[in-house]
Amino acid sequence: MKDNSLIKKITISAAVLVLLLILILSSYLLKDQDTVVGDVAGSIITTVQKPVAWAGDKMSMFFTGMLIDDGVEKKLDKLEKENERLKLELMQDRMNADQLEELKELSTSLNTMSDPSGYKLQAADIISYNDSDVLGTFTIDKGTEVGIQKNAVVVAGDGLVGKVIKTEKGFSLVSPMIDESNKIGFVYKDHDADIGLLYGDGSGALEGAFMDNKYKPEEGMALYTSGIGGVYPAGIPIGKIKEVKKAKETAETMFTVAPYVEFDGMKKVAVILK
Amino acid sequence: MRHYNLMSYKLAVPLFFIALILQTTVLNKIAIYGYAPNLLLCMVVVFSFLYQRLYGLVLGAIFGILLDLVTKPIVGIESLTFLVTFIIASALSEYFNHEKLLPDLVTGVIATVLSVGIKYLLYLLVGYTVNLSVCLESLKVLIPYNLVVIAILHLVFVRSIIRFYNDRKFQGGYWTE
Repeated sequence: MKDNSLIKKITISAAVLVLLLILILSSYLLKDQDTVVGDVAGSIITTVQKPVAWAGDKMSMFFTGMLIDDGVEKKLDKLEKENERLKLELMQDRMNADQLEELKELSTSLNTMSDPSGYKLQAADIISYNDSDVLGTFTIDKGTEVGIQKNAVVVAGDGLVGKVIKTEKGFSLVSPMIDESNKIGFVYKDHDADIGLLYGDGSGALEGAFMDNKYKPEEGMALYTSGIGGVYPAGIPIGKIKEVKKAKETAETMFTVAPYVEFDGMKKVAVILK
Repeated sequence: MRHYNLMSYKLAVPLFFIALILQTTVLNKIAIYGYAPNLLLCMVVVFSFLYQRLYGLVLGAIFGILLDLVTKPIVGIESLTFLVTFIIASALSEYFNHEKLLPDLVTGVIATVLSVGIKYLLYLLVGYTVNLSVCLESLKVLIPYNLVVIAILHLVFVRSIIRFYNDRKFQGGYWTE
């Protein structure tokens, strides 16, 4: 009886293992395609997640709000929303200005006029943080139905957040810029020639260096996306240089950057639609 | 032989679904140093030990896939870690009394380490950059956090199998006669 049960467990485990390996392989091969199964299952789960995430937020606010007067809390909430909206508007204006400049240059060289209307922002709520996973992704409640595509850039009022690495109907998975898989081209404010590359250091900050060693990074320097690489549009605030150091092996001047965006407790983001 | 099951799929499926929703929505509110416990992994450990049926395997695979669908770029990774967890728990339950907490905790430690290790290797294989030292650092938080959750779940669910602890006909979470 016990042997039969063990054989049954081993057989089923082996079958499930084979099925899972096939699933992982097909998921990897079809990662850029929208699947019906993903759409349906994702829609069901995110439909349930939204009210639970909302209730979780309210509970969290309730416990923190016990210390604050109700009227003050409402005013703070309203001001926070207004502040976030204004920051996003400002960022969009800055991006449009950069885009307009680029398009002007292009139109001069190509002798054509392009539409400089810039980018469109799609607001989205964060419904899930995947904190038990090593990638540290999070899920937002908007997907292909509003035109979000893979590699779409995600921003918040303070600056760059990350990019979409998977999108289905009803939700998208976002990889934060501090993830080590993300490489971001940057420029130092008002110095378009001072370009460099940033990448996540795995501890919530970014590391990077200028391409040309003649530029000296200084603490407090504000960095913006350069637009080079084709993923992140130019002009999005990234963060400030926090610490400058010399790489042990190459003696190259490296620095760490503290992102403007506070990832902890972030609830709303905006996705840049092309 | 008749089985009087105290844990059925009718009960286990909603429990796993609730765990899935809580893991993806509420647990981040109690994250420590940015790491939240893996509730579904803990459920698989406890269910694989306490109940001699295939709950850990079947529900772990299904809910692992659902979790992957909404939280990971590649589907099947979490299910694979749950399958490995089930195999370890099943192997250990052959040698240890499944009503005791210690084997659950031992499995919890091994499962957490393997879970992070498997994800690290699979992400590397599919082209993501993951820092090994960060993964090892995460274990410092994830292991104790998962153990606390496993202990709580064990204390809750063990009641369903030790209510008739002294009855020789009561084995592995269900009655036999």
